[in-house]
Amino acid sequence: MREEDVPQEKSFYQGHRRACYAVGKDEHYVLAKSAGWEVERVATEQALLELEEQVEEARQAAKRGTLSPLAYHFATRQMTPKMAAQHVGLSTWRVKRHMKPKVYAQLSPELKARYSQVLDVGQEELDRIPDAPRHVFLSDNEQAGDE
Amino acid sequence: MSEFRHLHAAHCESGVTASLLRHQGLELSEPMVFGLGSGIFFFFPPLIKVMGMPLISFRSYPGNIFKLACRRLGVKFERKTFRSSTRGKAELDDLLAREIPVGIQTNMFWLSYFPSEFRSQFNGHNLIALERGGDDFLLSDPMLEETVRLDADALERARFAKGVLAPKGALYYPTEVPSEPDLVGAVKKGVNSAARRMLDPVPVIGVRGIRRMARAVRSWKSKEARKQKLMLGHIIRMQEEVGSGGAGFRFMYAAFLQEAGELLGHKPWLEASERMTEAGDCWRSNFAGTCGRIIKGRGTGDLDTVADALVECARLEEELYRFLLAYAPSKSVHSLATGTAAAAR
Repeated sequence: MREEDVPQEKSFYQGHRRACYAVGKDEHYVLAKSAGWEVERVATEQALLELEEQVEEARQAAKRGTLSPLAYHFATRQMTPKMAAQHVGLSTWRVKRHMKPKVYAQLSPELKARYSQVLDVGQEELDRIPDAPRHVFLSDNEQAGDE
Repeated sequence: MSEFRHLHAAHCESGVTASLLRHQGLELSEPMVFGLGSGIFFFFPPLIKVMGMPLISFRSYPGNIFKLACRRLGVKFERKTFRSSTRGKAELDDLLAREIPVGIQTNMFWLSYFPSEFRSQFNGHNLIALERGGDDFLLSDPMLEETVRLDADALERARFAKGVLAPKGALYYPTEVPSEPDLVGAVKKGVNSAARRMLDPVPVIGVRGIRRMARAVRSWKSKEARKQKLMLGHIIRMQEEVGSGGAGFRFMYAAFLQEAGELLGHKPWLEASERMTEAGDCWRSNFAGTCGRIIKGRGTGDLDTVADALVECARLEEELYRFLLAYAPSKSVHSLATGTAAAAR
């Protein structure tokens, strides 16, 4: 890649610029700064929309009462039940059980406190699920400027 | 101790290592550190999944660039991990109180100074802790153009996150830097070991790994279109997004080969650098560019076009590594180049 070809396209960098290496005028490599590359942005956006969809599915399931609020919070933290289990120090099997609303309703305050700590969600907010869908990872100003 | 100078780099670990060594008086470029640490790599193992996506890596195992670069230069260093977060926190506070900049391994999700689009549960992000404030830390993250502050709670979460590659509070810093390191010898070792590993007969590593990925891409035809696009996008993200300096570290390695060739006065490495640039361009334009168009539903490419591009990348790289091994600098280059290096000093 030549220095003049270093892409300066729309990205999620929010004003940050990324360092990359490119061949300069005298055939020597230089450290150039890139504002973003369309190909990368498209790949990122696609992956994030997929994650947002998982969050939304978990949110609806929690609202319907088929899954506990924990499922929603895991999704917003990009944690699988296994990863959450490693953080809380429980077996994956137990964490999966806690994703059932009935079992969750009977959770001890101590366990809830541990989840709240690990997920960085306030104890009162642990039971609260947003009423409307919203993007967690994609900032909406990026969305507005899109397409 | 001298004033710390922040370094904006392409990749976290090579940036951190170059930055820490420079602070100790050993001035090396980021590509030089990357080459000395044999950072270039390719790894595409079966079965291992990260967040439901196959593991793909364009660089060596996290921590290896720092370790190998230091070892080959004769730099002594300390690297520690912790079972208890209390002890890990205390150790970092203690080092910072003694004004020692410390490299640390972190989980990116909790680093709130990144745009939310880039925060993921990835445990291999490296940065430097500079100073402890009341409730926060002053950090030098090579991905950013300037130093940044992060609150102590977030940094603790980032350092002691669990899961694949769990950092376990890992911290590292050089303790003793030789006044006249054998840079030429270190460079030779770095190039040799990288080229050998990229030609490793193990089918999931190096150029054979790239070919395996090409076969995998062809086999995705049976998947639904949405899934195909997600998988192609995933490869692009591993190649470009995680801070590689472009084309999955290929451009950074080309920069290294150029610098090393000039240092030793060894012409074949200059040619190798040009070949590596060509391979990098193949990764970016032929491969990633085509994937991008497929994801957007434009252009004429399909999975076969993409796989062919990968095979071409593998071919360019294989020839290049064989060339590097065939035209390794002779022993006499060593004394000659150290002579000129000493004269330059």
